Amino acid sequence: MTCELYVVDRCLPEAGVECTVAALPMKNRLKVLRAERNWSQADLAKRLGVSRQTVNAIETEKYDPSLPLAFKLAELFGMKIEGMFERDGE
Amino acid sequence: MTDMNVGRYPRTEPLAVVAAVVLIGAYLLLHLVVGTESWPVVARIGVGLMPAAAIAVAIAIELRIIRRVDELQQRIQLEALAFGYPGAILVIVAIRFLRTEGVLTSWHLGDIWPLLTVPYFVGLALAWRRYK
Repeated sequence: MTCELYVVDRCLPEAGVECTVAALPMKNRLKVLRAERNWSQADLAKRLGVSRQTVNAIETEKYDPSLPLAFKLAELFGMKIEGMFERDGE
Repeated sequence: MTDMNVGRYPRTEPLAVVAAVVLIGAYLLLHLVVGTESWPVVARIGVGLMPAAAIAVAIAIELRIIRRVDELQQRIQLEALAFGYPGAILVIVAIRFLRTEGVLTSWHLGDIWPLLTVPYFVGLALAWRRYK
């Protein structure tokens, strides 16, 4: 069942069941965006002030960045966060 | 976070490391070479707490490092500690009950305490591998 922007697990208000948002994994376009600018992972890491391992973990979707880091990424690439990240399955 | 903080692990505070090494060295010198048996109780307390002070310095260094590293490194440290702390308890409980059963009776926690750090390093390796 979907509810506008969110994928909803269950939603039966009449039965007292609140709508809950499913914890879907995140996907991102970081690798493509970085490649378009000919930046290495180390370049991007330096611009973000994080380690190269962190950039790699985000790109390979092993790690979802915090909101401040996601905003920093979006700002760096001149995009909105929702342009960079999306929930898998949407 | 500034560019100075980029990197997996930043440099530790050299003076604090030197202080910890000096404390351990001074303890070994006083306890094993000079001998403190005839010293007043207050002095012996001071000497006896030197290793603890060195460990306190090490904890302070570790906290400073963890506050400075980036968010993924903090998560890796959290997962390592989440594995290491209960892992150390597991080691203590295992040895305690093995001794109760008459096995490893010569093992005393005071002598094998470095073993308690092993689960932390195992947890660190697992977390590191997960986000490699």
